[in-house]
Amino acid sequence: MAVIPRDQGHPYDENDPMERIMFLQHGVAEPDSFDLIDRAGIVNPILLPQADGSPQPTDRRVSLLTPDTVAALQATLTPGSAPESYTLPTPDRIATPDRSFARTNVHGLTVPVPYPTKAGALAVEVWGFVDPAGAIAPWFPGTTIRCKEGELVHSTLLPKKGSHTIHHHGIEPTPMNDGVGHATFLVAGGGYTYQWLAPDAGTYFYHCHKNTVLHFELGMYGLLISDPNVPNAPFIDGGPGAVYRGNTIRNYHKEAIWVLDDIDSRWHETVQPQHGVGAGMGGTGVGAEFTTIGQNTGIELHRFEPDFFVVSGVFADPASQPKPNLITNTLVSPVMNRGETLLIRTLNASYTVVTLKFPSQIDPEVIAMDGRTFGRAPFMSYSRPFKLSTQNRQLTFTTANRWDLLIDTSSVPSGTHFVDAEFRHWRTNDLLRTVTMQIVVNS
Amino acid sequence: MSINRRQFLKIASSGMAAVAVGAAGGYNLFWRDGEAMAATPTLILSMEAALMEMSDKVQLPVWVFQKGGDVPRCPGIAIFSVEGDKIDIKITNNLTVRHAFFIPGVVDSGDILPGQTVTVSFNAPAAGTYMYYDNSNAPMNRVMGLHGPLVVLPRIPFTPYTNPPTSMQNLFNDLGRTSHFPGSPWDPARNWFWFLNSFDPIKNAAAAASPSMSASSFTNGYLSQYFTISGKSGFFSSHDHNIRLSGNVGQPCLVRCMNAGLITHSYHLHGNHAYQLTNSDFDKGTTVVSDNLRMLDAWPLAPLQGKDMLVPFIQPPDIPKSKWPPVQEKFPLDFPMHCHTEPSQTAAGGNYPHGLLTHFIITGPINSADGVVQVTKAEVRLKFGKLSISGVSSQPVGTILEVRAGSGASDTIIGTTTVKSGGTWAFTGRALKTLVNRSLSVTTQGGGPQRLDVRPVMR
Repeated sequence: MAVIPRDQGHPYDENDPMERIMFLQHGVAEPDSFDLIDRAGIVNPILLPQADGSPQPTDRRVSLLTPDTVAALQATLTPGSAPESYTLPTPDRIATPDRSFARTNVHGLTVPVPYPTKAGALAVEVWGFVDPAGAIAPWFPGTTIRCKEGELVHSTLLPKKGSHTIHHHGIEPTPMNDGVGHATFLVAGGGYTYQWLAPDAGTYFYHCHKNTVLHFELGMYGLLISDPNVPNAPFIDGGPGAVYRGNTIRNYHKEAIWVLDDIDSRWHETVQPQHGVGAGMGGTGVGAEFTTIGQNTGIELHRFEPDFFVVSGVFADPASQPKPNLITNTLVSPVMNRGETLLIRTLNASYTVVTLKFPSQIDPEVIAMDGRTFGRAPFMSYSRPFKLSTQNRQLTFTTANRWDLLIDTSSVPSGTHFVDAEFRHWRTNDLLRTVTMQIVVNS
Repeated sequence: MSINRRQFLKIASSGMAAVAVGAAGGYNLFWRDGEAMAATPTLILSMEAALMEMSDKVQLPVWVFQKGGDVPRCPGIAIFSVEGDKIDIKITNNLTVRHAFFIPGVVDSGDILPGQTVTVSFNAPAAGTYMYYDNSNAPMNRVMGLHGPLVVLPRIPFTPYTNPPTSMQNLFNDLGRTSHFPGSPWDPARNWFWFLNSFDPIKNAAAAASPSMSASSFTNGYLSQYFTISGKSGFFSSHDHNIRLSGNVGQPCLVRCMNAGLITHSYHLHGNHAYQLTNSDFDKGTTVVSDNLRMLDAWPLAPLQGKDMLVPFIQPPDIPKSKWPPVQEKFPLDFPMHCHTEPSQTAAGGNYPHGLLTHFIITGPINSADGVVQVTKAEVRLKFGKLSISGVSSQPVGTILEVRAGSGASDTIIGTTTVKSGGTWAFTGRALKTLVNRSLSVTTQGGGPQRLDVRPVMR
């Protein structure tokens, strides 16, 4: 029977060093930031050039950086120094940023859960990000990165427990500042500073992009908000603040943050502890390029069956009163005085398809998606904001989508209004859980 | 429209292996870099069993639509045509149970029994993106691999649609002609497919062993182990120029996103946000061409859903302006595009990132050699024997354009015009020669960008 090859029409040449580098970079040998400095192997002899002078398969930098830059990196090496004493310099660095952030990752800590996990525990380990200068809590979701449109930002990752990255999702800098392990490099102990311009005002997020399937699920993400360039920005999470509606600045009194997530406790308490942080990455066995289905028994990162549902770090509890799975935390479920304006920033950080259903008393206006404001010149002049009532007061979104919703409560009756979030399985479309947020409007 | 003129069939690199049928066969509207041609009056397809190699070399049984004389591919070959043209497709079922060829709202072969050959004829529907697939024993036969794309072009392909809504017309008018879109207008040759499917090895083996098994037996407990984009995964889809996007800043491209599988995905593009142009339902056979253009970095794609996305190829907006072009970091700037519902990034339960992944490559800053000629209007007034044709070009002012009667660069020149300031050009002349061929071409004198086989409006 005819075979359709995996490289049909575009043959993979294992003897082409650059193709080999790119192949191995897809999971088997993702270089870290120190590998990019140490091409000649002064500190790390594993990375010596091959006998014919061609680069080692891990030497991704020859296709990332100009030869002058590579030579300069190599000149910084001192034999005998520890790899973690080196920090990969940011290419095309501007010395003085307008704003700087630092993040390190949190691991090994657990959070209580309202009912037993698959292994019967009442707590689950979740990872996250914090500012290393700040307090440890809260780390899930990670501490928000909040900046002002147009600022030059330096965001430094100081990783712990192996290498990680930060991908600032929706922000579009150069590849080396984009934080994708398989496309560029992982950040090793010495750290790395990502350089980017604070993007168009809107809702973004950041997450680790190493073995993303696992690290994102384990909790390595946080919100990233770019505020308009107005006085007092960047604002405090929860409001008050200001956003663009089209080309106009609108003030809001309160800001609700709905980061919807789901957790498969198997991934947290079995996959990661038993198979390590590298679970699901690279080949198994000496020289192996892949791990087989049989070898992945017990890992199975294609199998995601969530048993917990979370909004901005708050676990939904079927036993909660007065409604099951009601989230009353006021950062999620705000209390408004009638006439005030509410901004809802919502992100789907789950691996399920989520539908938000608003009650008939509330008709939010959709002012932005994915950090792009409807009607705002120049790039969004082909669009305009729209009322959610044009689509039955519902929106359905998938992983990484963000919707920004503006609600003028002057037309909302006083009382408590419930907004349902239906989590549906990505394959079966089965309803897994309905979580409810509330908006309380006082007259 | 009768097709007595030369009819060509091409294997080409327009984002997938492709074939042009109907009158569209006579031109290379889509084909980059002069691909080989073959002539045939009718597209011949057969349904075949094959083994499909996953990125980790595991081979799975699949069923595919295979073009006569071609190798098996999954998805099947991309069929291109022009709105209104007649399409004839002769389909032979070389499998062991009944199958079908179906484009919702367009054509339905009904049962094609094992060993049987059926010819379907239909007129190419409204310009846009369609999915052909086997709708029998749904969804099993489709998910086993019996699917592929059909693209229909407008007669004047300034946008991918005929009479697009105002906002979309404005967007295409602005490409290459405003300060926020420096570079070129959209070139219809800049067309890619991101066509999704997934594979559960246990289910594929069961269907291959028992092709008449019920669809519910196939879908119950279905658990994908492999996730493909235009038939490939991971490294292989990231480095195939038919799947990964590439170009300089200022070369916008169209990506036709389609999902033949059973899973709702969430495409995420790094480096640029993209405009969503359409939303198609390949179950019901409906397409909405949008007048309110979202600019997204992630977009959902449910089973049998399609979205045409325009990737603007702008300078990545969050690189500091004083550091463009980068000095220390090298071109090409290589960004990923992946499904953000991350379990789809696996193969065989792990092997991240060997799943639904490709790349988006910015090869360099704006290059003045990337000029494009586009036609915005072409009209023949039969009563007066008068031809009017006009358009835009990103070539320098004064560049001489040749207007030709016919569908190729070697056809007769009927006049010349020049690119004016503002990037516009226009030509008016006698229409007699164009009437014979009913198509026009515009080429650049001395070689360069061209727009072939434009169908003028007859009045």
